[in-house]
Amino acid sequence: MTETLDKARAEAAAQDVPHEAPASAETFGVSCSACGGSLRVHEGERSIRCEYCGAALLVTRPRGVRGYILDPSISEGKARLAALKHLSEETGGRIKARHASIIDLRMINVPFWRMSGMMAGWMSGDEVIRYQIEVPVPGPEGTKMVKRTQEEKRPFSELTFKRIEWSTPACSLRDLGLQGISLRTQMLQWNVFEHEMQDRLNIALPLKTAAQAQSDGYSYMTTLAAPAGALVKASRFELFGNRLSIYYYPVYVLRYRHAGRIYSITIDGNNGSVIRGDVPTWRKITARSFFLVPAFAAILAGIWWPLLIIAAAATYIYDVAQSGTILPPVRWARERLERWFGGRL
Amino acid sequence: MQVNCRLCGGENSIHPGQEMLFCSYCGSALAIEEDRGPERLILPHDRSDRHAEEALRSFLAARSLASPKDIRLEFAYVPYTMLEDDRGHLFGQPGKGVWPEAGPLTVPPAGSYRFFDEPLAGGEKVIPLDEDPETLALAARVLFLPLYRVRYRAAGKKYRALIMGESYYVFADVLPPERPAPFSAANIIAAASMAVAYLFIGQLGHSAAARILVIMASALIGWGAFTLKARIADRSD
Amino acid sequence: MSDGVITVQRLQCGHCGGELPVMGRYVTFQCRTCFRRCVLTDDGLAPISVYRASPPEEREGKIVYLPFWVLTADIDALRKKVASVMAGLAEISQKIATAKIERETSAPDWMTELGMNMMGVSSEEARRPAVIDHSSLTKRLPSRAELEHILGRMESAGRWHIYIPAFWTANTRAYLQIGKMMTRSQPVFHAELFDDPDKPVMCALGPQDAARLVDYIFFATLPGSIQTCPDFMKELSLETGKPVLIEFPFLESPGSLESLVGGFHIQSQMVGTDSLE
Repeated sequence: MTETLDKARAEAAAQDVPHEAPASAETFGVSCSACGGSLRVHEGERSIRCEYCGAALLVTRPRGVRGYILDPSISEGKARLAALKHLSEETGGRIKARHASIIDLRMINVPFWRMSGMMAGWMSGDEVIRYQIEVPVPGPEGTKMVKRTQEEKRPFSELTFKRIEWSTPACSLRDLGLQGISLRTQMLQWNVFEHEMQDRLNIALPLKTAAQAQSDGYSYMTTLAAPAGALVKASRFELFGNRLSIYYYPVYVLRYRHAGRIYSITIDGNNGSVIRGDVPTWRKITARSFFLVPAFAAILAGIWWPLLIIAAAATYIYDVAQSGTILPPVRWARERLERWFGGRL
Repeated sequence: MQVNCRLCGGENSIHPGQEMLFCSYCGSALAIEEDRGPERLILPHDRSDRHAEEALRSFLAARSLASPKDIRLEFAYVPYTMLEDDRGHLFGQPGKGVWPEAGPLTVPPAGSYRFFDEPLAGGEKVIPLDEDPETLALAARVLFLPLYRVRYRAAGKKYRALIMGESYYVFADVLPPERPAPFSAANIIAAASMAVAYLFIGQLGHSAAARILVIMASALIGWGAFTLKARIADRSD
Repeated sequence: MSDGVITVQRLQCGHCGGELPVMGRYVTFQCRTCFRRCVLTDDGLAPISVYRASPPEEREGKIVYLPFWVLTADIDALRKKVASVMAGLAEISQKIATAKIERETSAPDWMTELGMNMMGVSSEEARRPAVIDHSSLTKRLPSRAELEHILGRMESAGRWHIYIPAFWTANTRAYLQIGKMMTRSQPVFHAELFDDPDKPVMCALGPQDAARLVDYIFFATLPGSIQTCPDFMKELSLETGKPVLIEFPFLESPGSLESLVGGFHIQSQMVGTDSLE
C-alpha cells in the first residue's frame, strides 16, 4: 500500500514544473489541508507539495492584514544571564549580579509593520538645484560683485518598480529600549499569528494603524526614489506581493536597580544578544592632574609658600575669565578640586 | 470580549485590534462591526508605589537634580482619546476632568491592552471618560492608561510629576534645581597627602633645580605606572 | 491585528477535479487530465485561455516564448478624461493668474504676502522678476498639441494595447523597461489559442496585479514633457479591457533576446532563467 502511494507521489511530483527556489529563506508555518502535517511555505511560493502525503496544495493569501509571530529561542533564565553578563562586562567587572537588584524581567512580543514585495511607483515634482552666481550690487563706493546663491527649479518625473523591504515599529519602542532597531525577517521561521495568542502571551498592541504604516511606507519609497533635494508634488504607488503585514518579535526587558538608579537591558528573544543595555557609568580619575597638580604645588611650596596663594588666585582669575561670570570663591574651590581629583578608579 | 456570530449565534471571543474572525462554530468569516464607537481599551498594571517612587528618584538622579522628599502618590486609570493631528500622527488627548497636569500624549506606552472591563482595573480608581461626542466620533480608540500622580519636595520647594505605569516614564515640566556638586573628600585628602610626600621627596635634591627635577621625575613615574596598570587592567577584561 | 490568515487548500482543477502540477512561484496551471488552463487570481483559481503569437517569418535559431498580459486601452474614455482634467486645471490656473496680476499692480510687498522666502533680497531687487519662480503657484499644463498628437496616434492605430511582462525576473526595472518597449512598438501579430500540454506557461504575475500596473506602463510611454506635469498626471488613469495572456516569440542570441514581433532587443539578464527554458 505504501509502495503504491510512494510511486503515485513520485509520479505526481515528476509532473511538477522544475523551477528556481525562491531566494528568501523566510518561511511560514501552515498545516496541510489533506493530512494536517506541518509544512513551511517559502515567501513567494504560490503552490507547494506536501512532503508527508504528497498532495498538491495551493497557498491562499486572502486580503487583509496578516500577522506573524516568532517563538522565542531564549528562555527567561538565559535572558537574565545574558543581561547580567552584559552588565558585568560593560562595567569592567565592577558591578556583578549581586550588586544589582533585579526589579522585573518580562518577555514581550513587539509588533512591527512590514511592507514587502514589489512596489510600482510614479512621482513628479521639482528638483532644486543651487549654484552660486556673482551679482553686481551698487554701493557707496561703486558697484561691487557679490556672491549670491541662486536656486533653480527643474521639473523631474520618476517611474520606479522596486523590490521593497521596509519595516517600522507599530508601537512605541522607547519604553522597551528598542529605539532604532529594524526588523530582519529572513532566515527566521515565523508562525501565523492568531488573536487567541493575546490571552496567553504578552503581545504589545500595535498602536500605529495600517493606514498610517502604509502612508509611512509610501513616504519612505518617495524619499528613496526621488532625486536628492527634490520637492515631490504628486505621486502614486501600488504594492504587490505580500503587501502589509505585522510581525511580532520576542524581546526580554530586564530592569534593575543600582545605587538608587533604575536601568534597563533589552535582550533579543530570538538570538540572546543584547539589543540595548544601560549600565551605570561614573567619572574616572584624571591621572594627569592627580599626579601633576600636587607635584606642582609641592614645587611652589618648596620655593616660597606664598606662591601657592598666588597660583590659586591666578587659577581663579583664569576660570572667571573662561566662564564670564563671577564665581563665589568657596564654590569655585570645591568645583576646581573636584575637577582635578574627583572620580573613581 | 465576547461577540455573537451573526449567522449561527455562537459566542466568540475577540481581542483588541481584531477586524475579522472565523467563527469557531460555523467557520464563516465575520467582519467585526465598528458602529459601537471607538474601541475602549485598558492597559492593566500592577500598582507599585515603591516602583514609581524609585522611578522618580532615578529620573532626578540621572539628571543630577535635587533628591525628592515627602513623596506622595495618587493612582488612577486615566482616559486618553486617540486622535490624529493635521499631519496624520496619532496622539492621545486626556479626557475632561482629568488631572490638570496631564497633557497630550504623543507616545502611548507599549503593552498588552485589553478591552475595557472594570475588574481589570484591579479595584483602582478609574477616571470616567468625559469627551465631546464630535471628538469621540473622530477617535479610533480610547485608552485607559495607568498613571501615578506624584507630589514631592526638593530643595525646599514643592513639585509635581506624572509617572506612566508599565513604562515608568516620568512626565514633568517643572524640575527641581541641580543637586550640589559631588565632593570626593577621600580623593582630595589623597592628593594633599601626595603633595606632602612630594615635598619630602624633594628634600633629596640639594639645590632648588635638583628638587624640582626630583619632584617632576617622581610625579611622571607615578603617572606612568598608574596609566600602565590601568591599560593592563582594561586589556585583561 | 491579523485577519487574513495564510492557509493552503487542495490544488485541483476547477473543471474536472484532477490534481494540478505544483508550479512554485508561477500562477498558471494546466490540468493533466482535461488540459484546461487556469490562473491564480486574488479570488482563487479561474479558467484562462492562453494564446501564442507566431513569429512573422522563419528565423534561424532558438526561439523562446515570453508571456505578457495584454490589455486594450479605451481610447474614447482617455480622450474624455484628458479633456476634463485639462479643463479643470485651466480653470485653476486662470484663477491664480488673475490673483497674481492684481497683486503685482498693487504693492511691492506682494511676494511676502504670498509667503515666499525672500531673505537676502532687498525690496529694490524684489521688483525685478529674475529670481522668482512661480511654478509652485501655477499648474504646469502639458501642451494641447502634444496631447492631441498622442491621442491621434492611438486612434489612427485602431487598437492600442498595453503590454505588461508576466514572466519572472529578479531585475525589477525590467518590468517597466520591457513593458515600455513592447507598448511603444505596438506590434502587429497573429495569435492562436495555445494548449500544448507539454509546454507549461511560466507566468509569475496574476491578472489583477497586471491591471494595477497598467497606469505605470502607460505613463512610461508618455514623453518627459507630459510626465513632468504633476497636476495633470495625478488625475490621469487609463481604462482598459480585461487582461489576456499572450506568449510572444523572442530569438535567443548570446546575451540578448530579440523580439520577433516588436523588433527591439533586450538583454538576457533582464529575464529570469526559468522563463528561457
